[in-house]
Amino acid sequence: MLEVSDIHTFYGSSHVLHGVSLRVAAGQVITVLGRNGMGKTTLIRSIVGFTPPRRGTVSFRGAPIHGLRPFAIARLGIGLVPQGRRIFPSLSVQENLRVAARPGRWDLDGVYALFPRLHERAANRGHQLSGGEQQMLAIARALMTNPDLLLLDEPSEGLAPLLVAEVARALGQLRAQGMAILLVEQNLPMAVGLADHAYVLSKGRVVYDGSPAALWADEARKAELLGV
Amino acid sequence: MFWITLVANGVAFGMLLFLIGSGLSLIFGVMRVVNLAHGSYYLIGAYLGTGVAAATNSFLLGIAAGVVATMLLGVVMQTAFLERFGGQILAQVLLTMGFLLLLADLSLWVWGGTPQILAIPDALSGSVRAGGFVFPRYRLFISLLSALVALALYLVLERTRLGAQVRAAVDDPEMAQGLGVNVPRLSTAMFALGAALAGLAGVLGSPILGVFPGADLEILTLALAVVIIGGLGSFPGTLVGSLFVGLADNIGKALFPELSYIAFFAPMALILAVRPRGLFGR
Amino acid sequence: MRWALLGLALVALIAGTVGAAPPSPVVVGFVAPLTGVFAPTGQDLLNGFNLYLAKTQQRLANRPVRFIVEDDQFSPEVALTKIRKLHESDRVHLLTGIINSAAAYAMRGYIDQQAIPTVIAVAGGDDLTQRGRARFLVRIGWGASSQFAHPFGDYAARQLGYRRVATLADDFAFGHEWIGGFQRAFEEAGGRVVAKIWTPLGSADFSPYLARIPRDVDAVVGAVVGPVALRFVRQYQEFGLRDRLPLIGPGHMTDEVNLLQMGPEAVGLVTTLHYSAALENQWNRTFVQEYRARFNKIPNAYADAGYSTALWIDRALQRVGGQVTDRAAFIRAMEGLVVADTPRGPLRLDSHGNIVQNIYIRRVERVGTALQNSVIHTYPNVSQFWTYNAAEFLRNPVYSRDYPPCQFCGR
Repeated sequence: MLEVSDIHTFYGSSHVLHGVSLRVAAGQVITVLGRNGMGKTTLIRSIVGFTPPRRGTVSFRGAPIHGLRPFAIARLGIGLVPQGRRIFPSLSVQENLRVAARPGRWDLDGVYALFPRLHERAANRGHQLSGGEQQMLAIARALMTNPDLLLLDEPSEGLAPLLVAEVARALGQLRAQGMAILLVEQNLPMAVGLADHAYVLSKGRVVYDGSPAALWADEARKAELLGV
Repeated sequence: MFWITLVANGVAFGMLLFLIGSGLSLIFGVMRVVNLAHGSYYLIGAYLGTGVAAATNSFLLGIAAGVVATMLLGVVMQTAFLERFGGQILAQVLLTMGFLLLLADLSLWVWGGTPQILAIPDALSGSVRAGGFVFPRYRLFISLLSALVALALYLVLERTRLGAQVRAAVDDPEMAQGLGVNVPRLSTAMFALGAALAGLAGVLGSPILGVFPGADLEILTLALAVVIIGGLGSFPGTLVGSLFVGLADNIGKALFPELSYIAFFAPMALILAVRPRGLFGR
Repeated sequence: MRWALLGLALVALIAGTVGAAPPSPVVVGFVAPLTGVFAPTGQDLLNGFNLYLAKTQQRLANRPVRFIVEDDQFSPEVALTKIRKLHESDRVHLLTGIINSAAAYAMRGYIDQQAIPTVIAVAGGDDLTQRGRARFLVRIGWGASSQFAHPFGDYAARQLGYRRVATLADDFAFGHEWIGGFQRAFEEAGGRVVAKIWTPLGSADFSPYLARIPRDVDAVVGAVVGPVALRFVRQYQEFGLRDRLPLIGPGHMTDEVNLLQMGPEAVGLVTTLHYSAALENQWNRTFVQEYRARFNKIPNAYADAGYSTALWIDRALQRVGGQVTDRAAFIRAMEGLVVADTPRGPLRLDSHGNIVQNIYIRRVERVGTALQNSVIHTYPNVSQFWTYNAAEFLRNPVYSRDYPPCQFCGR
């Protein structure tokens, strides 16, 4: 479904991704792990067109998308849950959802059913929400675009364990429905629990490409690659 | 009676300023740039509207000409020039200043230095009377029409999906794009709308203020005062700022004619000192 | 016979050659604003001048004219630069035009020092021909600002019977001097000025100032000049003042160019000036007819100023045989000159180089479809000193915002 091959991405003159390749097949949950500053967020930004790669290709359902503008990429069916949630602060919860809406199986009722808490807060402005509510809203907002592929950039970041479990529950539900997911995480247990396949990024390169369970079991590799 | 007339006048002038200030604010919202050429739209709208209305004997055609022309001017400025310098604030501001000077010279060349006044259409001329209160019908028309435009703008921005997308693009343009909102096209549309509002104000203002070389700078000064007082990018702030400047200008001129500029520049300085982002700024 | 014919041909040839050698031209420099806000005024003035030159086939005192036109953009600095250029590189014999009083004041020193005869066509600043006048400067066009205010103050009190008036005028020299002259004559005739309101020059919107006009007066004296007068008169009506308080003032308000764009709001306004296109005399009738034929519009006082100034210069040059070599003699020739046949009536200079002329009281009337300034009263041969002794008059300060003081204001 998504194929990233040998991309090089820069911020100005600083070379961040050095030939990264990865694949997400339909219905698969892929996780990308790695310490801070290793290029995980840049990978997501390269895919959605915020920071297009200078070399290499990104294709979605067989067609190249690395030259498209971000809104065009999103409209092909890629839903983004960005790092830091980036909720629109001056919009209400419901407006945050409506601006993203495109026809499909996900609508307001559907996302409210997935996150009942959002329904209660529907009239509140984005800046009035707690961190956990913002994260739920960010996921729900991405779902409103009715994507075939969901990109999540550290959805557990800064959340209390109870809320991490809530997010994991929702992702599990999506996975069960056959949604393809690319999950960037630092929360290893959560990622391993969900993912079919894992990549680890270090200094802009893929240094692990294999089973999440095997990585979880290999204490030495874990310590070397992830510092845990 | 003295006060009623002054307040009614201040409101009429304030509502005219609202059309200009809201356009400036809208453009700032989507472009993050203070468009110094905004007064030029007023000037071009007023000249074209006056010319077309005089030639066709139709006030409505005058309004249409002023609005459409400034809208197109806005589209060209935004897509062919400003968008190329996305994110480079200084370059963009200098570019708008260039347009201000260019359009001023162009207007002088096309329309000459003679001040022009658009004749008030017959249906709107004369006065309305209520007891001892006499007020020009045309000024009442300006107040009502501008209030309608303000209401329409408010409803579109606050109650529709399109309005929410505009506000989303103002909050975080990159994220809005990431969700599939065509932000570049939205920016162009808002830029055109902002320019057209100033053009509309030019045509509407021409019968009472006239149009002459230098009107662009005068209007820009007042519009900047409006958005600085109200808070750049804030809709309610623009409304409050417009009414404030309109009233302060009228009352100041009537009570202390020698100090009329101080009447709104002094409060403006005070507001900036206490609230650097304006009354409603975030 | 053959020889005779040949001789005749030779004589004709020689005579022809002599006739063809043109006498050296009179060089006239004309300075006025031809761009900017005052461009229409400058153009009207220039039109009047050109009409006269067209009638004389570009000759003054039977000498060809080199007529050099310069644009001063209504700026004293630019005017001075242009005048230096006209004197130093074009070697003009005399200067004319000049609409901006500030420009006229700025050039006084230079024209006296260089002895350049200067015939002012419009600039009205009182002191150009009062305190500190320049020796080489005479004023033909409009006269001093307060010159047509004095008789109007007299008329408002004695003929219109007003006792209390409010004034509203441009806050610059012309407004100060005109209102000052009006106030002095009006109050000496028994009237009282009870409020003086000043508006910034070129005000777009007069509503805040209109709101300040007290309601317990007999009339409002408005001295607003230029194209904004259109807006002033219209707004005066729109705010309901016209129904209760008559509006009177200097003739700028109902200038023939403005009248074209005015409607019912102007009918009945009583104003004063030294000219009206509706003046009934043979010279004016001819002038209006020729001006309309050439420029397709009705002349205003600026057009007359250009025409009458050209006529005046022509007659003055004739008195010195077309020679301006002795410049002081040329000024003296003008000081003794009387011209009876101008569109605006008989002209002569007073002891201070300023024009003595008729001042007309006019009322706007509708004749057919057009509005005109019908003359309803004439004050003949009015000087800038009105009925006062010149020496005594000049001991007072020049009229200003605060002179004469407003002793009845607020009462």
